[in-house]
Amino acid sequence: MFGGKRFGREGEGGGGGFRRGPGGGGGGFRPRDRGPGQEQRFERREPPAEHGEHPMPAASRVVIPGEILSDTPKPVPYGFTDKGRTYSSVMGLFDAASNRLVPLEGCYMPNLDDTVVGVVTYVKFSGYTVDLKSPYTGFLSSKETREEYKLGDIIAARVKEVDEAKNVDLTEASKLERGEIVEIHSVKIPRVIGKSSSMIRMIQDAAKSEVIVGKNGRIWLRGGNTALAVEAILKIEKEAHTHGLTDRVSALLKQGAPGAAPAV
Amino acid sequence: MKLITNGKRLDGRGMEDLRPLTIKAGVLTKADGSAYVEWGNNKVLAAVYGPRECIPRHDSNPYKALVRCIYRMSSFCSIEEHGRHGPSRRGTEISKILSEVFDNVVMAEHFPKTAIDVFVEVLQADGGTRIAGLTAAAVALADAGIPMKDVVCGVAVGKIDGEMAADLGKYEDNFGESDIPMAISPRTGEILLYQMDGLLTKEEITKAVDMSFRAAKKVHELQISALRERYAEKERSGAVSEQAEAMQSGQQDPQPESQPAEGNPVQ
Repeated sequence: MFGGKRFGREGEGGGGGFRRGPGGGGGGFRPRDRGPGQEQRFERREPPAEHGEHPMPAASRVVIPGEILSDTPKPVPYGFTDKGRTYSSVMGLFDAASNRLVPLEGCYMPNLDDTVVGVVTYVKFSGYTVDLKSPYTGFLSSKETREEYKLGDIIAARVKEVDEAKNVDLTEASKLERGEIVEIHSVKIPRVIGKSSSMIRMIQDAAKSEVIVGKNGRIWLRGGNTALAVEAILKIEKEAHTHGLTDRVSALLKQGAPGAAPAV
Repeated sequence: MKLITNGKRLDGRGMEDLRPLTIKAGVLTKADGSAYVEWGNNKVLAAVYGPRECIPRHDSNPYKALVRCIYRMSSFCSIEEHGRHGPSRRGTEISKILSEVFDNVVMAEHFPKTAIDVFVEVLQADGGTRIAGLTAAAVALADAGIPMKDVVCGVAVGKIDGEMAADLGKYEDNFGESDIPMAISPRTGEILLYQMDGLLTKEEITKAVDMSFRAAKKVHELQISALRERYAEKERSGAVSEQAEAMQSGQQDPQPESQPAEGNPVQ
């Protein structure tokens, strides 16, 4: 079902991307890769236990940079504190009840244990440079893989390490052959995955395709009714911040329109 | 040239009135963030690309992103421009000061070794273009999801026919006694951009700065609604539940009260 034996990581803890075990994905209990200059206690990572969930209760509201979230200092991801008050640093959805701020825009920042779908852009003796649709490129060392890849190959991999200078090392790579790739905004990926992978499983069951979801915003599909899966994924990207999305996606999948053009 | 007649300015505005201002966020699909501003007869487009790889590499900073703002007047932006291309000295200076404004608010430490490029293109110029450009650039940066401490805004104030006035138009700037472009961080009240042409007394400057703060608040409200509108649009296009609709309308900022010369906020 998932591509390649090396990717059969059912139920493992700390997996990013589609596969998620208890303890959450990128973020969590590891020492965070914080750069210098963090005096303002800026929280970048989401709390691990809720990874993949979206703050969709009615109390969510759209916030903009500089908007006040609280009169007391609170550890809100993507928020910052200044003189004892908490503010938002990004355009996002804020849920005051759970103090969760989910950005609505932004680039992909590689995190430990994320599953990513990348493109080989440079082949060296020591390894491969991989494009991750991010300001930072990944590197797959030759020591990490027995296969040999060529320029332009598309691979799925796991982020092994990200250092303070944002050098990204990859491991557990497998080549993705045939199939198609949907690229969406990386901030919408948690919504595509859904709570405990519920959304992506729903799509997978309806379309009967192989799916690998890269946290960097690339989703690989092969076989089955990929057009239906693509339509569902693009719908989620467009409406990620709305209520009742799960029901609407479920309705779309039930309609099933084999080979229908995805709504853009 | 008389700039004030019967207490009204050339276009009929009062001394503290802004020209009609509309802001729209997310107008360019290929840029990471974008905004289009019409301020009086100014038409300015801003686009943000980044964070992305910093080229040339030797400019990159291993500790933070390089925020580069490039302000350009298009070759057709006004009657004085005769199809000239390329950066002018004025353009280079304005690019520098706009970059410095955003250096203060963008949280660049989160993106080491990258560049965040902000492009401001003036399509039509009628006085106050650097402030209009800054207004658009701030919205574009927020639209791109770049973490910032605030959405910056500003208003140019000045002295015309002996009186202080806000939001100078082109003729008021050219024939007035003083022009002060000013930009602030509305959250903290810090001044991030301040330039001055002409001669003013201390009292006049105090008056000008206060006037600019008051006027900038209105600009900020329009920036906020332009950004919120981005998500209201997306909601409308999907089948929205009544609950979400009620939530959204309850969160809209109250529209700024319209004054004679103020334009309609973006709808």
